Amino acid sequence: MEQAELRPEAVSVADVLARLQASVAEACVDPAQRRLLQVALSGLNGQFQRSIAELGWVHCVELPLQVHAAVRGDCAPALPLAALCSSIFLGLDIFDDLADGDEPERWRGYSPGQITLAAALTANVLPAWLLARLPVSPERLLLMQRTLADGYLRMAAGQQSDLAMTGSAAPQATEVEASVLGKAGEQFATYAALGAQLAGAEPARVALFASVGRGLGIAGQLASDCFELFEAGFSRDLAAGTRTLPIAWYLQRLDGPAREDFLQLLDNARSDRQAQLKVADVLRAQGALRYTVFIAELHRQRALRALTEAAPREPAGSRLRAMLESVMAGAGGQQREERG
Amino acid sequence: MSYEAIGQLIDRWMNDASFRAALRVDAEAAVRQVGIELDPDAQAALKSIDWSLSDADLMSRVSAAGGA
Repeated sequence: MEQAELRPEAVSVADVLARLQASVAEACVDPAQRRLLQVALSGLNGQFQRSIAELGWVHCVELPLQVHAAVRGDCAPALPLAALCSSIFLGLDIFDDLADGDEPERWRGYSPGQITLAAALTANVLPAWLLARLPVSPERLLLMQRTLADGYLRMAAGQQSDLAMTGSAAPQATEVEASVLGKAGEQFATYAALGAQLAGAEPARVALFASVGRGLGIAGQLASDCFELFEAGFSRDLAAGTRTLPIAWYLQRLDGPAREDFLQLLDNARSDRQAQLKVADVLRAQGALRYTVFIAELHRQRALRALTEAAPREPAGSRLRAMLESVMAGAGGQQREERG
Repeated sequence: MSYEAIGQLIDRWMNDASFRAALRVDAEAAVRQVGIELDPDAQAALKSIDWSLSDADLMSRVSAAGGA
């Protein structure tokens, strides 16, 4: 059978989790370290299942697999890379939980120091261990190491910017977008670029697939931020004082007493559900939802264009397009045509 | 990216009923007619968004998970 005829779905999320478990078992230097990483990994399946239920895919699994298949026609050789990307995602998620003071139940009995160690091991050490064992030439490995290091730096810059804006009275919409680009866009771009590099794509094509991942990550994060603000029962972002794009866009258009009033409302919304509803009402009435959806759609369109230019092999190309469609789930044109 | 132009577009959408109606019929023509200049990426987004959706409908189509 030719590679192009292989089905990308041949690698499942369960396969990736199993590879990650096996890597932990092999890599850890003692039982205590293994136990710590097993606790970390124990939360991953639940997160994957939630993503599958909502979107039908898991970004850190599907991006490396599908991009590899889009270049080479098969995804099976990218299984260790999907495990690597999943480990990064897990580590970043643990760091996020630590930053938010929102550690899941599985960490009961573990100190912040131990949890930080688990985050560092999964975000950085295990990926490096997995990368070093990929069956590729030293030249390609070096390229992938560089992609990973550059990606880490950009993701960290996004996180740093996000933390700096927490509770800010004067966040700029462009700063928030840059933070989303770093935190989500560069994470997704890194996974996609690594998939393309593993498959042996030329640098220009690697950059195009990175753009696909970047657009998917930004659009997805903005969509998620909107959901958090306008639909979720209780907004954790508002509770944490996070300045998401709808808030920053509206704030920068205000001045004088109106600005002070809205800042006070945001402050109240950190603990008051009624104030949260009021924030959502005000932002909706002022067009902040429309603006944010527009920016998300803009990035999604950019990713779709990059995907076309990358000339992906099928069926991976269609799968990547479907992933991009799912993020906005019909706010855009294709769904409108289907609805007639 | 033409953030200012996108802001103008949204302001107009929120405050001008005739513009909203025009946008639902032919978004590109409506934007051109009021002199808002969008770059190609923003033009693509403009054409892609279903302007006939209410805020509630629009929100119901935005993914909760966002992939992350």
